[in-house]
Amino acid sequence: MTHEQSKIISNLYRQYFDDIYGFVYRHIGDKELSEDITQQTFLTACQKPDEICSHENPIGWLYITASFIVRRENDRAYHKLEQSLEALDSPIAAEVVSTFDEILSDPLAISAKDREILLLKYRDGLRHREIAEKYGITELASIKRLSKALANCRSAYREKKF
Amino acid sequence: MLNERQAPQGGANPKDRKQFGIDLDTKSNLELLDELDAYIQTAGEFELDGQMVHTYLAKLQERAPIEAGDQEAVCQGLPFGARRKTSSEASKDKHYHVFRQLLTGFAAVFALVVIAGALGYHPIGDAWEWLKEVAFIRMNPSGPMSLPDGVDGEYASLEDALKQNDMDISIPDWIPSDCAYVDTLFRRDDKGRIRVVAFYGSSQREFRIQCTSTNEVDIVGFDEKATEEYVFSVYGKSYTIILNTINSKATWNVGPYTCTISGELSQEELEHMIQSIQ
Repeated sequence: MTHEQSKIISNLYRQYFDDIYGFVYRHIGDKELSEDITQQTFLTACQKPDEICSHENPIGWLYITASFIVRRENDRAYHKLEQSLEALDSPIAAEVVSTFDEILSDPLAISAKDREILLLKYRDGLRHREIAEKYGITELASIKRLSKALANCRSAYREKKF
Repeated sequence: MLNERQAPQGGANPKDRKQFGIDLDTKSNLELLDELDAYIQTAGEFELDGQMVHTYLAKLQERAPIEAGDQEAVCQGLPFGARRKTSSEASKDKHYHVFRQLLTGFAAVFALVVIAGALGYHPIGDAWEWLKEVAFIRMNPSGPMSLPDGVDGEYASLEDALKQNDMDISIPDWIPSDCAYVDTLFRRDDKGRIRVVAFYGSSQREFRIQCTSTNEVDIVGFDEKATEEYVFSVYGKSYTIILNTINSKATWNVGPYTCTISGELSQEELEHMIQSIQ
């Protein structure tokens, strides 16, 4: 990558980071993973400097690339996700749910973000579609976020022995 | 690695085309996201309108804000990412910065000098003369230009005389160190013409500074014994200097007044006195 190409891609990054990240986040629902995918998008651009720098519509290239990586990530995570959801009916999950109040009342046990989605799902009884609507993310992203919150909840349960 | 992509031939089938970016306010968040995905898939990389996507994202952000991504942190993992500079790099940058500032300064000064030269000014020459004058005065302090404390006189100095008679004239503030202020005479004739003469001297020589309310520089400057006569310019103002074998004389106009320095002064002393006029 030449200095000039580096400068062009750097400018694209400065200009479009927020939009690309926002687009990814709406489909993933997780900050760290969205940052990773955004980084991967621009890394791909750096690996194809000739293509991106001579592209007549680089922002289009970036969105399509980000969209592709998001889809791949969602496909990869889907199987794992199903297992996580099935685990809700497991004895451990049942124990976790039964001690919800105890876990949720401890600010050190889980994050505010996890607490919120868990409350929406299990206290308020919202469906994934409703949670997704509330957060402005896709339904799949909502499911993944809940799954992650449950995983954190289980970890807190195991570590603290509620 | 992503596969190479090709531009769509002629875009999507018109029948499949959908109107995007319309009535966003009436749509739910999930409808907006579905529509956004549909738009991205339909438009393709060559026709995708970044502003259109931004409109959807902005609407979603307005309704359901997301936590901001850490742009700087993400940038660290990219080839063009800003990395923390080492102290030697920082030092180099600092030197480069100073060098650039100096270069810019020199370029600006050079441009100003060129422009001033084109307008008939000589800033470098003037600055050089000013520096020489400052150096000269530091090495050759002025003689006393007013009466010593405790000595009574009608006017304590020429400056005092001019001030008391409402004459707004700038006068030298340097005289040769071996000379001293002696006295000032003020005269007004029956036609209202004013003449102020200040005397300065030592045991060896004397000179005077005279200001009159007649603007007759040519006549005052006339000397049939002159050996040299020239115009001496300081800060754009002209002074006529006339030298003969004994005396030196400088005349100049200040508004309605004509001023003269005359007496036993060397050419160099006379010029320094003129340069000391503020």
